[in-house]
Amino acid sequence: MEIPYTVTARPDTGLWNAKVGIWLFLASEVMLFGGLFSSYVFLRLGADYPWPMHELDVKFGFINTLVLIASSVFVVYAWVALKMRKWGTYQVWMTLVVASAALFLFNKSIEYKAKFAHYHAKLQDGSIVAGHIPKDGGKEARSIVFEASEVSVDHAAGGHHFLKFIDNRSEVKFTAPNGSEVKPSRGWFDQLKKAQSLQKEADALAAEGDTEGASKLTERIAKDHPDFALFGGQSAMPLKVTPAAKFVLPRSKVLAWEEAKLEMARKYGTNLSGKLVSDNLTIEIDEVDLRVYLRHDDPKARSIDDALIFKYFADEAQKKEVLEGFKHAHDIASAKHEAEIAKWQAKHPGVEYPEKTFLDFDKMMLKDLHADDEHGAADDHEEHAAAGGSAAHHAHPTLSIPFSDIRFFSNYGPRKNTFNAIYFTMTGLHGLHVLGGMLVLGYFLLFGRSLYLKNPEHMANRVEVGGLFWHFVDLVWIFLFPIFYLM
Amino acid sequence: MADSPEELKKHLKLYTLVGAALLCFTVITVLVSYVDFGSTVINVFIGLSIATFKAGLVALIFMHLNHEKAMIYRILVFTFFFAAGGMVLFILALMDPIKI
Repeated sequence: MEIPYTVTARPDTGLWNAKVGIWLFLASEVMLFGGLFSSYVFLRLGADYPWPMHELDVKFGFINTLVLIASSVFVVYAWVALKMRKWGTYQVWMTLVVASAALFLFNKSIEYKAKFAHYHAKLQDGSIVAGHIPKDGGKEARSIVFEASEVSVDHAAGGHHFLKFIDNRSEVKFTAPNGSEVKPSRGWFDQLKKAQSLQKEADALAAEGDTEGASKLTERIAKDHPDFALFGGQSAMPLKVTPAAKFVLPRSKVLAWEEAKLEMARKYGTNLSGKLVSDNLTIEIDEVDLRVYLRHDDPKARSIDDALIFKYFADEAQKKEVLEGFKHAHDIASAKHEAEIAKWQAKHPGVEYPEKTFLDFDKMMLKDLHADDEHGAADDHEEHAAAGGSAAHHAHPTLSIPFSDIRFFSNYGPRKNTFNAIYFTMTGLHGLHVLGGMLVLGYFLLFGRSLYLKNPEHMANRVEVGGLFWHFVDLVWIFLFPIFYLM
Repeated sequence: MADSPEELKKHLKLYTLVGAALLCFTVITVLVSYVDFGSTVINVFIGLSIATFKAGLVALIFMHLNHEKAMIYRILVFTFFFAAGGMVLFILALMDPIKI
């Protein structure tokens, strides 16, 4: 059956159907993105922390804007080519549209990757450091390191999974309470599980009164699974470990820990006794934010020297340099601020100056922690992510901060703050729209020939509605770019 | 939408012009963002005005809204009413004197 009004106008609407359809769809999309834009404004105006401004790398956003605008022009050229029945020309322009979309998404992926590789820690006193996990910091950079001299294993819960966290696994020996050595491994635990189910069978037979069958099974267990007896009927058993096993544990795998004991997450069924070696974050910093120390309305205003981060500089010289840099910037900012207040007071004698809180002090970030101030921290992130976060090209101070001093730790992903949350939501949703549009237009490019030969005007109309969607996606980006990157 | 080849060629010229204008205004947007016009409100207003102008070009010329049929305009009136309404509602919420 032929779908009606794909080319000719419907009498009541005056338009061919897809045109009405796509505009209705775009109207709903306006509501979708409009709602998110108003969420952005709501979050920004209601923020109780300095709203991140000029934190995103403008050149990525700028290039992406040019790419999308160009692709909008290309899609219109493609449509005109179809209206003029020039299939070859249409193919050229549509290929460029799809290529532009791919380039946009590629740029986006670089931006996102840099954000996920960049970390941020807020300490207990409110001071903030940001930077990268050094590549050679490895697993220990933000893990709990625990030297266990005793490990309790459970063949019913978790089994062998704890083994992969032992750094010196090849050196350690496990001993059961009776002194015999055991070799925990995946196979070992599988055997124990088998023995356990055989034991259950034996118990069931004994309960029924079949003592012969039960004893046969018990013999079998003793022969095939000798280690099962070591457990003494329980599923868990403590094992001594020599030398002490060095566990390097991601914090998500640990339930509770203290100086001498550590309880892993329930699914591992493993508890450790021994010594907590470290629970530190090793971070190569490129940004220090001490704005919390600059609140004029705080009667007990503390000195920047007291900032918690300065305890953790390994290198005294570096620490001095950073502290001096900060004080220098602070003096300049303070002097400027005092001058502004004086000017304002002169114009408004007798009235108290309305303090605008921390938004005035965005100069106190100290984004550059190296001698050459050629580029800001923002530019570093993409290079860092590409290089895998290594310290190869700049000597950024490396701090080792105990997690007990850290109030909040995350990367620059959506969970860092509301700005990142709304940024990732909106650009992510927009990116999915770009992907969807790219797929549809790609379909028109690769599979449109047969429809074009049968009914070229219909094909032109299809490309027109696809193009309308594409322009809408461009429209959203035209607003997203200045709002997130420039304001 | 059936146009003659001459009209289409004229449209092509217009599209190229608008495309170039959009690219220029993108550069202008970035440059203007580094100028401080006094208050945040004015800075944001100027930035959004340029963005709205660019969006207008895309909507009117690329999306053919400058010579569309009445049906489409009717749909869009509702859209803008509800979108603007959405913005107004939360501004009212922000202005609410009752603080939680």
